[in-house]
Amino acid sequence: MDASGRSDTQQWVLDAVERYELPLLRFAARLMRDEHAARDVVQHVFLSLCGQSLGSLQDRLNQWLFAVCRNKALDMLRQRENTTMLREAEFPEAAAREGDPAATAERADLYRSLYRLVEQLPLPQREAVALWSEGFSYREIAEIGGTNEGNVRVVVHRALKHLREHPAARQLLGDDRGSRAAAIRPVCENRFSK
Amino acid sequence: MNSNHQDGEQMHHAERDEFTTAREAEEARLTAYALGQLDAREQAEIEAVLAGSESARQFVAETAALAGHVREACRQGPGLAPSVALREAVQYQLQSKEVRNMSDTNLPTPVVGKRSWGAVAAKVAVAACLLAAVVAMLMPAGQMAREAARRSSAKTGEAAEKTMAVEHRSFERAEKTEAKQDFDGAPAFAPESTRKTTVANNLSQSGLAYPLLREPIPMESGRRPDSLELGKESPALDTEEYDSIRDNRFLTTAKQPLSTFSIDVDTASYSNVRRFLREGRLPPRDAVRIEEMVNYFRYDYSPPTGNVPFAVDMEVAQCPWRPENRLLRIGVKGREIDRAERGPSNLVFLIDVSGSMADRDKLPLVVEVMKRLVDQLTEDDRVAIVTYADGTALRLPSARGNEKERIKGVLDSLNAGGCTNGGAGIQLAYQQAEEHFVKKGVNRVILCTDGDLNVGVTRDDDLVRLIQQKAKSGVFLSVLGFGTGNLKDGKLEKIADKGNGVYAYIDSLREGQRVLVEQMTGSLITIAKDVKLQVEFNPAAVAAYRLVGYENRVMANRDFHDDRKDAGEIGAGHTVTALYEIVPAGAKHVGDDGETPLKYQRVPQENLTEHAKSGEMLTLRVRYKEPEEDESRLLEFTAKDSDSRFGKASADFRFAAAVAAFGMILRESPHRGRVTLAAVEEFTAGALGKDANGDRAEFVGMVRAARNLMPGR
Repeated sequence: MDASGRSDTQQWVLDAVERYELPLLRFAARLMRDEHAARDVVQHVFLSLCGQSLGSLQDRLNQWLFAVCRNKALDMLRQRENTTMLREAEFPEAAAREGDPAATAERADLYRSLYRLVEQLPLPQREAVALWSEGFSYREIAEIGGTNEGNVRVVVHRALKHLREHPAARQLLGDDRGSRAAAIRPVCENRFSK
Repeated sequence: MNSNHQDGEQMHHAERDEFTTAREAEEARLTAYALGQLDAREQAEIEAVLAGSESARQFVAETAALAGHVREACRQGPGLAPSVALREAVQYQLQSKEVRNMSDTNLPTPVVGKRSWGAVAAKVAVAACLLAAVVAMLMPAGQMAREAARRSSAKTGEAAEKTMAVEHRSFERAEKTEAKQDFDGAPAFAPESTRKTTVANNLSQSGLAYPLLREPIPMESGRRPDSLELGKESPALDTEEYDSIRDNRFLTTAKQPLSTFSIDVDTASYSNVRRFLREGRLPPRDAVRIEEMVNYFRYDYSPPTGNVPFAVDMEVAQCPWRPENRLLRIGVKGREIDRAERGPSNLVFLIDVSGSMADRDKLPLVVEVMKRLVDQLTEDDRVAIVTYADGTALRLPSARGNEKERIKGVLDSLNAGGCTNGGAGIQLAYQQAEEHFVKKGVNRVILCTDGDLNVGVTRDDDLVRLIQQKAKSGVFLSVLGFGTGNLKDGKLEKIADKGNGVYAYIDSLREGQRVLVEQMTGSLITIAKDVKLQVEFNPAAVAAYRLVGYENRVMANRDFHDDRKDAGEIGAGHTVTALYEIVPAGAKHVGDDGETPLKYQRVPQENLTEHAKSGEMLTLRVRYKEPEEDESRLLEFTAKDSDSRFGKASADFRFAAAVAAFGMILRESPHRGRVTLAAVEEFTAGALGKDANGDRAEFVGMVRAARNLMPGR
């Protein structure tokens, strides 16, 4: 218990909120493509958490949260399959923090495009990429999604392969490689050809 | 890279998606390597491959870089801030659990609630600079605790409520003073509230494009815009007007067995209430019309079979806000008409382009909504556009529905400016509609305005008369209200009502789409007019009853059979729901009208007919006219009380009851019993049904938003 008389059984839930709210929200928003719905999902996750005991989750808390989050999000997606989304996700204007303003603005633009692409991936790919972005390993992603690691391997690969083709990704990769940018494309295309 | 795969590897991935080719599997393995996902054995294998292949090395490097960018892009994503509402919900959940667990100990729960909330709020402030916390930090510690307590008093469990009762009461007094005396009169925390309002507006402008429905700004709790407002949104005086509503009272069956009202398919009140809650304010009480809130939602009533325009579905179960009472739900479902089946539409848009319409949520929204409607029109449909401001202009003489580009061109050229003078405009609009009148189709003038209708021709009465007269000739009027700050709610509802039309409030493109496009058949095709409902309660089963909502629609009993008396219309596919709270016969407490017991007469129980013993609770009579007819028809239905508990009632029943209870709380209805917003949210559990549009889920979000604004409710 802390000074306010809150018992440990509750503090850990509040700690979990502080620590996992935004990662879960990002993940849910990726799946749902709708921030409001994502917030509902996240609320559901933490309210469910209130009914759990820490002992039963212990070191699996992270995965438990994401699994509950995923299931709820998919439920809701199923329910509202036919709804048209009128809102587009908004990026914060100052996405990048350093460097010269023009370059960072351009980079923010590229990230924005890349993010939109991620949002347009098929659901399984979107899910896998979102979880990977939150720091989960393939094995954990498989557990959360109720599938096997081999499958995750292929799904993530397909997602990246798809993203790679996009000009925004090309340009980002070009930035990294400086003058070699122009050489990348043919190399990739011929990569496995004999 | 060479592609001679070893069998062992193939086995390793045996469970993989059957469409995976061997090459893809190999590529995927490289990707996994780039992302650091392989075990030591496979890692070693890949490294051996990489050593011999420049292209594979490059692929891995590029994949790793790309993955880094993707991760970064995902993490930056749209700006997502921590949610105060979430923390409150979790706090509430934990505390109610704690109160249950500790009911026999003497732990000072209220203190827990206050301090912990403050602590959380402080953390939130750091993370997101949410204004509630900012304000809290600007305050002395004691005051901060009080603020926090005030916000969370609703959520700290029963024990907390008692302890804080004194504080809470003094706040309520303050609130009332404020409402009466307007801004200057507001006591102590007025400066904070000013600051909060401003910050809130900044936030809603700079933050997400969409106001955060599920994340209302915990502004001055319980503040209602009854009084003048000094907000950024409404720099001038707020001139919204609402007709006052007095909740229907309980009536005793012995004295008044009949209850008569006109149906109402309007939904404007709900979207208007939603607008207020999104802005972090409570709606004025009189802006809350319960029947319009209940009727906003679709219910899964069965459509009629046979030759009648609508079906009636009744259900009786326990009343959730007063469990000793019963609740009757009357559901009316209009016949569905396929898009293919409907006749052509002849629409005239009468658009207010006065200066006040320039706001983003007014004329530009009108234009967007109309473009979507235009997309749905066919060659047989017609559209005309009349605008009014200083003068009246026929911007688009009636055009065919397939001239989409031309119509949209006119829409794009509309801009706001000038004063309102809608008089001649409305006549010009009717003239257009009459010239292109389609038989067996929809002939309708659709008025789009933010409220000002300084109709040169007329005073209100004359305007209403004009509209009524045109409605008789078959051209109906619908009203779409837009924007904030100037809405003449009561007046718009009235003229739509007289014009046999629908009044809807459009607060977003989504709502516009819902009203005009998705429900085009419902909004536009009237399948029965002058629909009146009359319930006769059986005194053997019902001691007293109260119609929930429909205050503006109650009719004299004798008008039920009078075909000259105008009543509401029902459109294709529409559902209309009405609720009666019922005090069962034999209950000790009959209603709350505090009537004096009579000295000279007894309740005439001995005069009951045979039917009274049938076990029926009530008989519902419905009168309606076919759209083209002047003589009404009569339908009759009966209902029994199945004695079911609230939890056993249908999802639609529970949801409608939840919406009604929410409305009663927002209205501060004297009949709301002890129902709380938390309870309302519980009523909706498992009652969302299919909810194809997410409307019901959104309602739950509104309830949560209201909980932040109404501590203790």
